[in-house]
Amino acid sequence: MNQSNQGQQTSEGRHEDDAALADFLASLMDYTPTIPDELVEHYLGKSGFQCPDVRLIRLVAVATQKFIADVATDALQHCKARQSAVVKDKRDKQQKDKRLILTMDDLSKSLREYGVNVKHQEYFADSPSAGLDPASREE
Amino acid sequence: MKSKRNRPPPALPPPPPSTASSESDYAFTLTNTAVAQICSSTGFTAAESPALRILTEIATRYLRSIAKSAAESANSANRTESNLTDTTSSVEALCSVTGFPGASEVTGSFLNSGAVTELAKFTEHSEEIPFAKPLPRKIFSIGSEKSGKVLGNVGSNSNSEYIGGERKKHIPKWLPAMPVIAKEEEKGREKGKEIWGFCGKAKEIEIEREQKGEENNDRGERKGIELALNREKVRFKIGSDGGSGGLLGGGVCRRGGIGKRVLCENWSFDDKNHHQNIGTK
Repeated sequence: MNQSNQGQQTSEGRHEDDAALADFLASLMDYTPTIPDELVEHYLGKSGFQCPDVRLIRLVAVATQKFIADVATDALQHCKARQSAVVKDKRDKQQKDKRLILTMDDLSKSLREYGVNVKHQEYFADSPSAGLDPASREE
Repeated sequence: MKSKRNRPPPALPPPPPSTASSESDYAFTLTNTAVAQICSSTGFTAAESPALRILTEIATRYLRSIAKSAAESANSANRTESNLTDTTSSVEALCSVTGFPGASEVTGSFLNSGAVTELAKFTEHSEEIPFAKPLPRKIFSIGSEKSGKVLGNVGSNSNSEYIGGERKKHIPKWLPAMPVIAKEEEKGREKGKEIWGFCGKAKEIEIEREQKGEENNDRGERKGIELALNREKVRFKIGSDGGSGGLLGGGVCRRGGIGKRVLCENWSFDDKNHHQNIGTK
């Protein structure tokens, strides 16, 4: 008796989950991801992913969009934190607040949390002695 | 002095042939635009070009890793096409880096996956950002439209509206469309079984042979074919008659194609019937 009740409950739970998932997949057809379907299909085809269902393609596109949006949000947080830490005149701060630029520093900091290590060369020099003191240069 | 009007316009260099690198560059540029749109929706007003390029590269790698993981899980289950289970498991695998609610439940079903629930919330709360520029569809799907559309009709009834048409890139345009085999299937279903094979003649021969005497009854029972109660009368000849083609002395008349091997005595090696005799299996 108890086992049949549990079986009924799990089947009911499955129906609810199934319905929720079906609703989400149906809503995907109304939601247009930023990455167009053709572009996603191009990359999926390159990786061997074959599926005639457009809903799954949109699922992958939405997953990628969410990932990039999360990374960009974290980079924005780093950018704003850096700007608030720099104490300057009010005029400069207001000007800088308007211009939020995605920089390599912020991007590498936010990507580190997602397991991607990005290192960017700070500068490129013409010769090994460029930028050194003239005293050490003579040596 | 030559006037400028008489001069022919300078010949433009022919457009470079579309190579794999140019196609990938084109795709990369489009992805660049999409990623820039996402960044601007997040709140950025500008972006450094190397930073944007790196983020685009990461987006393409993320997309391809989801696809690769889903394709691998489908292949390991003897399938060529990925389904919802494969895609959900691959999305979960990639979201497991930062974590999602329900990640610790290993025995949970894929229906209430936390990663997909998070995606649902993301689509609910975030604004739709359609791609900035219209994309011509032909560039990415170079395959035959005919074949794609015909193949798209052959599918499950519930998902027929979602199955795309122009997806077969490997099929060249000059190839004719696949024939619709629905009518032949209806014939086969009269016997209560779908008869394998395209050749209509072979099917008729099988039906005729099923309607013969007790010998064929045994064969039919072994094959598991259901015999109809009302059967047509069939004529067949046994004997050494050289008129009809493929006739063997002391054997059963057979018209080539699919059939069982039967030991025949009194072979007549005529030049005309040579091919037909050997062709039967």
